[in-house]
Amino acid sequence: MKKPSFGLLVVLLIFSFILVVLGNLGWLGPIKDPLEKIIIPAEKTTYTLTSFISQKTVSLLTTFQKDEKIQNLVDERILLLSQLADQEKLRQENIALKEQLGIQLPIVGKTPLREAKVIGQSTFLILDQGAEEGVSVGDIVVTKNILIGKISQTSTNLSRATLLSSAKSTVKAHTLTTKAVGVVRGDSSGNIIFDNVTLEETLAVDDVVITAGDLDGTGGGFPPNLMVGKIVSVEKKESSLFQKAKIEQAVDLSRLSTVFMMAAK
Amino acid sequence: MRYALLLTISILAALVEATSLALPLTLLLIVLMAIQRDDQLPLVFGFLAGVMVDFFSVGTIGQTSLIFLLIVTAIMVYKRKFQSGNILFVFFAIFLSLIFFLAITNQFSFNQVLSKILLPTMVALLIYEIWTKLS
Repeated sequence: MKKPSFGLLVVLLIFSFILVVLGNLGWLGPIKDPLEKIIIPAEKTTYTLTSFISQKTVSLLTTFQKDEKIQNLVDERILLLSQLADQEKLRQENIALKEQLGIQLPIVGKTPLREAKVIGQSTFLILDQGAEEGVSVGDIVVTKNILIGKISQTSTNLSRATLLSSAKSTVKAHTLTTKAVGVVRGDSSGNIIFDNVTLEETLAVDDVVITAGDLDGTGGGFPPNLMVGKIVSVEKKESSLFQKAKIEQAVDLSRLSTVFMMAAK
Repeated sequence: MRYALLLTISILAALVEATSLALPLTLLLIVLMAIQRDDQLPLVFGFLAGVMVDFFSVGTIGQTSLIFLLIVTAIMVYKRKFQSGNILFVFFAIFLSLIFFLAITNQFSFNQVLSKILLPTMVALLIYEIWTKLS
């Protein structure tokens, strides 16, 4: 093959730039869409295969810990935590309603959920539903009532969800028992942090963090009362303006195969 | 035949990277190719692999190609200034490419230097040594 030339580099750079522009304008659809239909089975197979291998490796390493029993307990714990969050919220709503006896509240209809299969996962999720099925950027991704992330990009047949652990992700939230208000964000290490909590508020380990609700009607924000996770450690320094806590998500993302999407608009 | 094999490996790397691994496998492949070869192949593969990564991960097509092309060009320019196959050059080429890529894609973190940068660098270095010995 020929020696590398400056001309080829310039041509390839220009071509890449043209692809970015055409992609953003949505003009690559006629080429991309049929190809996507072909690669979906390949992506599903790769994901299933690699998940199987990684799960088998993990289970092999934890054989002596009776991993199946532990997994059942973990699943049960997740379910109980989410039920606890629901129950606590209902209890508080009940108290608030009793206090405001006589005031009629509007009936909030249930947001319809759209099921999607996870066909890829690295620092984001790839889902097998796209714009053709009505998915749009900003849609909320959940499983049970646990928040997973938000749709950040869609194509005709696929969509990409940004996870809570992503550095691009920010959610307004509060703790369930102490009512400490803050912002849930991801850091570049893949951790979920409950940040911007003033020093006067109380953060406690094991307290559940739920979304505060900040939908803006234009695809921004998150609905209220979705479970984010549980506080595992608190970092409070008197010299800082805010305190923060590390959150453990209530669901094991590596075992996630189906999620649900709800429209944010 | 060799090009077909390289293309297949690139497709597989892009597929695994998009669906299962949070490591830039394709970038490592392209960097090794840029260090090893003195022809136009790393540029062409950098472009194609970038398109594939974006396509498989539902990203903006062309974005990763731009980053890969910049990295390949930098390696090719600096390669001429160093002794061919200098292990320190190979180490720093992989190491700095990973830092640049992770920083530009917003994935860089000091807490993960070992797992996301040093460890992949050492593995890529080992692969490079085996590749050099075999070829």
